[in-house]
Amino acid sequence: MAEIVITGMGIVSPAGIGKANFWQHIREGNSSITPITRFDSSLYPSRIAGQVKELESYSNSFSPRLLKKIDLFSHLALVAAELALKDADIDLKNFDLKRTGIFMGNAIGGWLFAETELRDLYVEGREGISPFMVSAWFPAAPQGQISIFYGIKGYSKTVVADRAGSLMAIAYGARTLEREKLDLVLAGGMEAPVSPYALLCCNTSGSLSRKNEKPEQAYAPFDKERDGFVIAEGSGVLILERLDEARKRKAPIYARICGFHTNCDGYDRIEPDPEGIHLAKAIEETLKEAGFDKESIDYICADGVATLAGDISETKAIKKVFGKKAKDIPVSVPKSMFGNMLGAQGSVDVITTVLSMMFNTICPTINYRNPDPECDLDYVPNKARPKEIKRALVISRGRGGINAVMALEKVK
Amino acid sequence: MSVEEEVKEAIVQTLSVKPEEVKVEEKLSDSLGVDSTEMVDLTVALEKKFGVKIDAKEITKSSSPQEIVTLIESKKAAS
Repeated sequence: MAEIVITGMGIVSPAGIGKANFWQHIREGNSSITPITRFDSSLYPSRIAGQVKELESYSNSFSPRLLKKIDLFSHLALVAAELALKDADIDLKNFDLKRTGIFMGNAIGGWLFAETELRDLYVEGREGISPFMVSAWFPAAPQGQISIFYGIKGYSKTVVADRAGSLMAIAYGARTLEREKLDLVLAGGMEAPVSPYALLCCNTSGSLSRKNEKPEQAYAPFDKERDGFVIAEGSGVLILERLDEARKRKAPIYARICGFHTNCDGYDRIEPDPEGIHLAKAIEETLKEAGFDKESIDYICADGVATLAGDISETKAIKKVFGKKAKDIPVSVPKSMFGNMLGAQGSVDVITTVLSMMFNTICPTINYRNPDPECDLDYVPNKARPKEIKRALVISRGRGGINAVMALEKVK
Repeated sequence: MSVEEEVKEAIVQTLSVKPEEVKVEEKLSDSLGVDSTEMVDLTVALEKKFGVKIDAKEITKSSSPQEIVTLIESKKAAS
């Protein structure tokens, strides 16, 4: 991949809105997972989640007239996009909007809006449905809303690939920049799964934690007592540019995207390949594209889905690639603190990793108490650790055996 | 409340705009930049408010609030 760099980051998460708030929260190792308060979830097997607070205080740029037409997942994405542009010190008036693009990942669409309307369909009939339903619920709606709000007109795309969607979206955005089809890219993802129907769908996968009594301890990746992950809502948006142009406009340059690979296990509709063979292959191919020696990797931000098959196969894949050195590489799951944002998670993991590079600190995997003999890497348990990170990998995986890996390098 | 006041209220509520933004003589597209889905929303709201049937062709983005008032008054008179 040519010199594509990250020059801005916007984050809306249960652990805080904006990169400063977010970083302060996650470096302390605190959990922001709580019981679901938006609706009565008492009959659901898993009824805890990471929920965004104080979104309204960051929504002054968006009129009530706009917000009533869109689902929460578009609202989250608009706020994250606004924060990212501000962080990158970008005034879009200075950019050719026909050469600006949007690449977003999402898994389940805008169900908070859609569910209300479906109820109205069955109770009131056809005429009870809001005309905004058509443009509110579908997974590419946030891409459209960002495009309309800023007048962005370049090549854009929404990727739906379960929890791997936003890492893919960032990579495809970077590749489009590399081919010089665009000059500026907003890339990331958004997810709002805390709604009655979406929560039901997530529950039926059997991958969610049922430790409802202790929400803050529920998401325990790589721990022997793990019982699944916890869902979260939020959005992460990155600003991507070619290095030379970013330097020309004196942009803050956070990190370079050096390599990416994605493949499929072709194994099962929910579980990953138990040996992690194809994830290992994806890591190898990513390293090859980046031109990184295995010995040079300082940190891996893991998928850490906290299911038995997920944790073991991810550990096996890392060991397959790095051999004896695998145990020396810190591998952590910062999202154990705020939940898994599904289609938005890859972008948030990239933001976490870039912040770790900036502050020379690895965020921990929390709730790690009982070592699992089959998961024997250095998971950075429970406490942040100072370490200089020059090169890192981010792993995103989705149900049905989707693997995606990205290589990042700090830019001096 | 007069029909005009009620129409203005429906516009303010369905479009989430301020009362002073509603210009009685101007086209809705010019004064408020309404889109087609907002027009559907407004038409349904007016039907419910006044208990009349309004065809999609009878009120458009080019209608002014005053024209809507006239339409509704004529429908109410006919019923």
